[in-house]
Amino acid sequence: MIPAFTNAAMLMGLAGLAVPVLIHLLFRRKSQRMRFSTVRFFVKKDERSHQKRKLKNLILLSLRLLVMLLVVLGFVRPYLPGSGGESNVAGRRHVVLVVDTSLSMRAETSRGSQWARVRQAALGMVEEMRNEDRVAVVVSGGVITNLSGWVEPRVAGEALRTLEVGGGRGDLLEGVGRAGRYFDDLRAVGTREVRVFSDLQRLEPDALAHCAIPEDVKVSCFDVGERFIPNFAVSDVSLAGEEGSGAAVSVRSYSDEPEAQSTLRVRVDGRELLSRDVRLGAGATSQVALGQLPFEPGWHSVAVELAIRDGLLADNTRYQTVYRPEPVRVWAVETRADARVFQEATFFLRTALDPSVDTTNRNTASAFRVTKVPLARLVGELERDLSEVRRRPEVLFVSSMRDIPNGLGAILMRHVSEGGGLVMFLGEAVRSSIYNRELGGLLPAGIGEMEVIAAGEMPWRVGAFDKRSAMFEAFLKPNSGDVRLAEFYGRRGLVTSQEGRTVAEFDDGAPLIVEKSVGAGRVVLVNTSEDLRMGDWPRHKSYVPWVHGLASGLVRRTGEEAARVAPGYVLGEEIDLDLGGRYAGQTLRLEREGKDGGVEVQVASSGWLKDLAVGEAGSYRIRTTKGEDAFRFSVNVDPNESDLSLMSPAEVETRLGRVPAQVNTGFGVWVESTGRGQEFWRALLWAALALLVLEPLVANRMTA
Amino acid sequence: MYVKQFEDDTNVRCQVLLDVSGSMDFGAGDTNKFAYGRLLAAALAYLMVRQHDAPGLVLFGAGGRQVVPPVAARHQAEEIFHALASARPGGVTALGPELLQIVDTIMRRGFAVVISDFFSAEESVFELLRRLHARGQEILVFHVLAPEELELPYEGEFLMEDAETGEEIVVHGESFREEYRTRVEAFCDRVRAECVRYEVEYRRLRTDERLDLALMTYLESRAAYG
Repeated sequence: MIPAFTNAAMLMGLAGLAVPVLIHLLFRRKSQRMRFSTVRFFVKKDERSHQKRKLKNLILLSLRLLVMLLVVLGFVRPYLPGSGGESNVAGRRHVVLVVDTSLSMRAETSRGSQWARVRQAALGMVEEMRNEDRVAVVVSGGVITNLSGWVEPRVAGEALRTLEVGGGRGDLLEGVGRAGRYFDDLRAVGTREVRVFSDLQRLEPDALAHCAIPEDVKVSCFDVGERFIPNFAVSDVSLAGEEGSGAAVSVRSYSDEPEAQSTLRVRVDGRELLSRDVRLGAGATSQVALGQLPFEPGWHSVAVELAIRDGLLADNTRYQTVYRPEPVRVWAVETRADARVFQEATFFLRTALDPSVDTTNRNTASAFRVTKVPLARLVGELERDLSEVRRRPEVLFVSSMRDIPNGLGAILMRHVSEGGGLVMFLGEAVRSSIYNRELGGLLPAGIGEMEVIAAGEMPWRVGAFDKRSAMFEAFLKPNSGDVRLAEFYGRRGLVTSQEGRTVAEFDDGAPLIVEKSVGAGRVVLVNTSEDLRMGDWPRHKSYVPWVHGLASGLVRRTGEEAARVAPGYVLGEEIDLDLGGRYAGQTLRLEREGKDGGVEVQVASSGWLKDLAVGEAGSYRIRTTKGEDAFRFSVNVDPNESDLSLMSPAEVETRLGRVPAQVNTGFGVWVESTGRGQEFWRALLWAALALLVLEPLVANRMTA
Repeated sequence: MYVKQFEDDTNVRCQVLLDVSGSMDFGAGDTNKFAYGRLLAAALAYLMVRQHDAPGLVLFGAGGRQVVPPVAARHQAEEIFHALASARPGGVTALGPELLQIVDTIMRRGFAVVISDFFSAEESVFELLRRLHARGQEILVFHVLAPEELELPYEGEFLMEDAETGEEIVVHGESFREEYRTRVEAFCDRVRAECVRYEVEYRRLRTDERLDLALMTYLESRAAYG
């Protein structure tokens, strides 16, 4: 680019370049010829200094010439017309359009779609601009992006026409802030504007003040007209509440209607499971309990939909995915074949593991699938099912046996050795000699004689126990029950074997629970009866969590099988999933629940699936090439987008934080933008000044 | 038997060796080294004649020649004056065969006065001293230097031309003065050390000094010689 000059006549000052040359010539010390007796003392060393002096003189001459040249050029005031890629045309406008594509822009008003009106307004503005004007577009919706740099209005218009409303969260502050930064490096002259095309969702009162827009930038907002759009939203779905609590849904009203009525429908895997009528008070949040949802083992997609016509339909449905692991297969070995249900030995155990057991309304959400097996059939059924991976029991609860059937010891040993869990109780019926003889290899302790609390003495209670053990893990939480409240009236004298480990003791130190590893499985011996005959533990609050922990602790499952609720993501945000090493390097298929098609995705060698892009809220499943579910996750709209109370343009413009306009900061110290272009006379004079400082240093410092 | 007693003045043969090389022609006006050396040689010759010694004059430079042989005669001084008046400095200092032949023909013990700036190939001058010493001569060296040669008082840049060789070199007076003085002093020390080595009386003379100091030195040396 060829510079032009403001004061071209001053170029005559270049004649001043002759001054340093004349000084150099006039003051140059001429070498006088002198006849000297001998030059033997001058040899070599002074030749070098002579060369240095010559070099120094040349450098000094160059410096002086350069100083003079820079000074003259500084006064000539050269400038680069249209420099920096932005020509400086008088009256040029630089406008940054902040276009809101967030979910709330999908709202329907009495005037039509918010998005359609806003985009039309933005296009209209761009079309009215002159060719020499420049436009930049910032998109605020989900991730804030700079759609373009400074471009001609025509180019910006094309970009706007392809822009679609998204489902992410709008951030007006970040969008306007990003727009303001466009002007940081803009040296061109002309008007500077930020034009906001948004519904202007209401922000915290002080939030706008945190924005830092230069004072010389004009900010204006498109007026959508509406200030309030009634809306309702499903704001939260909780399928995995606290222990024992059922699923719940939060429904929020962003309406001023005193009371609205609607229906909440719950669909599981595409089928409507239940519906609830809900009343929505103005501005209130309603909690709707759904109870225990009957999920079969495996992945499930849940959609909760509020059936109502409001301003924004997109937030009326909320999605969640859940994985229900296969229940633990528990066999409860019943020794009282003919007793009534509540008199059976395993009644308390079975009820604790699955409250719906033996009822017609079986709870499919239970983590345990309990099967009652009569002692007489135990050996036969074990022999039949131990080879069946999906049928074999994972945990066996064996109540007190008077006699031990033939072959039971061997089949129990096989069950445990192959990874099964075995819990045995020592009630009154147990004959220690038979137990020791028939089951000695399995038992973690030798069984002694029966001990009964004497009349008038205090019953035994639970003393020390291993809190790290899985069966007592539940009691680490506060208000989880006190196992020490249970009382015991009878017990056996136990001698813990070398392989055995005492997990819990009575308060006098005698073993209460002893365990032992056998092969891949474990055996737990409980030194009390399975019912109320030797103690009242089944009546206490601590009994159920203890039994659950006992059964779960004996089962070894992977983390995937234990997963319950899959993660949820907000629409518009990037999604990264850790699928684990099982799917590392595989090509999987991403599908949206209820929609055909899908896309292939590649799992990284680390097991991560990164930067998944989904355009709509919903439940998503990732399938293997065989069609099996590898993972599911849900994507929901941001609840913050549901509140459609809007600000007026004037409110935004007046509350917006301002900072002083940046004048000649940074590079502006050197370069000044004017109507003609970028002038850099300051840089020239600064350089001349620097050389003037350098000149005496060179003159004095360089040795002759 | 009787004893005949008489007194006789011994005529000591005194050779005055004056450097007439080009380097001696340096120094402005009265401080010119050649003029100073010539005057000194003349004064010494006069003193020698007055002391009934037999002064001779050898001029050496590019070559060497015995311009006045040492003879004890009344008109000997005038001979030497005449020879000195006609002498012209020039050429390089070199200990040629002519000079060595002159030195080698000295058969009797005597007195030798060397007047020079010693700006020659050093070893050749020292060879002169060694040969004189070997011929049994009592040697007195007058090392004549101009003040400019000792102090380098010049300011600015000069193109120095060697008076003997014509070699030219650019010299910046101020910046090189200190180094120059150091080098000159080292040179003088070297000459003095060689003189000590050959039992030579050494006297450095600045051409802006009066001659009486040099003559006093001669007389003291002569008196010591006997």
